[in-house]
Amino acid sequence: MRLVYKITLTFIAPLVITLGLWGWLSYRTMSSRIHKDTDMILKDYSDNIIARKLSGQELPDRFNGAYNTYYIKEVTEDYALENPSVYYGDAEAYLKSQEDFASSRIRRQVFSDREGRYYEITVSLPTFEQETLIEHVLWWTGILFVVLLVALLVIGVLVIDYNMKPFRALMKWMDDYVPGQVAAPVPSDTNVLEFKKLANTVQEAVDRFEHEYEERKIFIGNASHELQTPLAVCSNRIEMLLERPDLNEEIAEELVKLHRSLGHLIRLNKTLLLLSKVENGQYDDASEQNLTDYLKDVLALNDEVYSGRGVSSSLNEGGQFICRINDQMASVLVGNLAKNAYIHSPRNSEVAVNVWDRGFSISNPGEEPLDRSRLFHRFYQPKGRREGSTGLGLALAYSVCERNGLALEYEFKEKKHIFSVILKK
Amino acid sequence: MKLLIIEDEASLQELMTLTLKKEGYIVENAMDYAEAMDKLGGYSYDCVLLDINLPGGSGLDILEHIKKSCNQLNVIIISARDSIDDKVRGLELGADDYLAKPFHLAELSARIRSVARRSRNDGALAYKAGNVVLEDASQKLLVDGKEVELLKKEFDILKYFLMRPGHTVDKAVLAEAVWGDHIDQADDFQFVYAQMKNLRRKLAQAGADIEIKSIYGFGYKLVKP
Repeated sequence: MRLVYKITLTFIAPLVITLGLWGWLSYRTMSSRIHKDTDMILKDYSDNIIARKLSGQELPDRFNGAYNTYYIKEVTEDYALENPSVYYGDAEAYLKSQEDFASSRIRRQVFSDREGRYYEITVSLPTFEQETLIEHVLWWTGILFVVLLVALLVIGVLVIDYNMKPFRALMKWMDDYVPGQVAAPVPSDTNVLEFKKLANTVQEAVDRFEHEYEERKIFIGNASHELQTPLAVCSNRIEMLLERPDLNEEIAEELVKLHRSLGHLIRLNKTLLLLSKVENGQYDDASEQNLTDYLKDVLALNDEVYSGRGVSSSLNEGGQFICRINDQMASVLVGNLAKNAYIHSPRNSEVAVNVWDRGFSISNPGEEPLDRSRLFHRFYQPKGRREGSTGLGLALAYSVCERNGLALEYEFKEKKHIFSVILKK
Repeated sequence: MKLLIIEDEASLQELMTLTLKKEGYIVENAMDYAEAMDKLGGYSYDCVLLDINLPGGSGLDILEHIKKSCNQLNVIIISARDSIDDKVRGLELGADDYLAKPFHLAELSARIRSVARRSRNDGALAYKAGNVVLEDASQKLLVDGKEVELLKKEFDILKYFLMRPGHTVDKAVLAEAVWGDHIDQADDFQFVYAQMKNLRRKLAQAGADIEIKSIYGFGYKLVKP
């Protein structure tokens, strides 16, 4: 969820409550004002009639054509004493003009004339006009509520969005950032203190990261140098010894074994360095490669090399698998997976390769499934170490896939180990 | 032929010197940047073996200096850095070859011979031993002047040995050199034996006076008459 919407959503609840409270209060004030006005009219009307009654003037017609009506009845002294105050209330009153009862506001008051007789006057005013008015007030308050709410939200979104511009620029910069590649400076074109600080912090973090990244690359190079040279010396000394004329066969054999073990060490070191380089993204410069071609080459090579064990291959081309990958990495990926399959194939068996548009699979016969959870870990060795195996081949293939938007999957089906490389969506 | 080895690792320098002296080269050494510049200024050499990481400066600066002052001098970079980028950079600066550590001593002398021959430009890049001539450009084998048909792998194997006469070559190393890095875990060398058998038969039938001998069952060596 975008920040601007998150803020707006958080904003909605208090806004609805506040605006609602405001609407309700103004509606209440208006309607009570309208009721008061009605009561004032009733009081004037009532006073007028009482004055006429007491002064003996002729009383107006009860239903004088207007909606307001009155009614006077004589009451007992006891009743008068019991109802000393003026009573206001809502009731149904008969409207002659409408020839019907209508909900009305009524006012009752007890008064006495000079002779000491008590009367109760009831005046009434139908309330439909007021109700219409109140209804209008309610409607408009509601409309105003909605309009204000929407307007505030839209303004809120626009204002936040406008002010978040530097933040968005920073986000875009982060999206575009690739470790190890020269990037434009972090955008800090703002006078907002917080954004400035954020941009500065990001710049510092990136600088530090870049520095460490560079250091690590240099370290890998140096580690390589430091190890390769003594390895070269050892290996070369053995080669020198092997050239000596006074060498006997027994010693020569031992020396050759030593030389081969050293060869494994050299290969292990090289593979580890390669793995680090892959994981550091030093082979991320990709171009379009047809992996079908790589597979054909590698199968031809391995068919020859493993012909002594009777391992052959079959290639089923269901399409051309073309993907973006560094050419060396394409060769490393295909080479390692193929070699893995050939090495672990029993005598006189077949390595089967399937290629389609979005991937390829290499399968070889096997007895039982491999431990999927550790299969792609470095130095994983199923069932006993093979002499000369680095235990890094599958880890390397996995890293190459990870760096190139490919998925490396393993399954064991019908007594076959199947490794598939599939283009991620 | 006079060589200058610029290498700071004493053991490696000693081994390289011993091997190359045995091959009949005159070898001089420099241990660091200053000594190297000194020797290059004072003496003349046919070929320089140059390490990149040196105390006191970079081998690449030495390379630049060499290419500016005397363009005729051959330079082979010997470096622990074996990424394509490093190689491209070295070759762009004018190095004649790039050998990554660790390397086989036989490989080193093969590279020196190849660089030297390229600079002399003799015999249109043919390898000669006894009555055998291998023409690289036309991929032809001539024994006593008569052409012998070779398959691609047989040609590669013979060329590998002709470039390293007298050196014992481990069959695992040969396999890696001819078939590629990916065969490093092959546990039998049937494929090498098969090719080697055919190559030997062809050489013998054509009457070649060189022989690729098996050494103690672990490798081979080219022997001249």
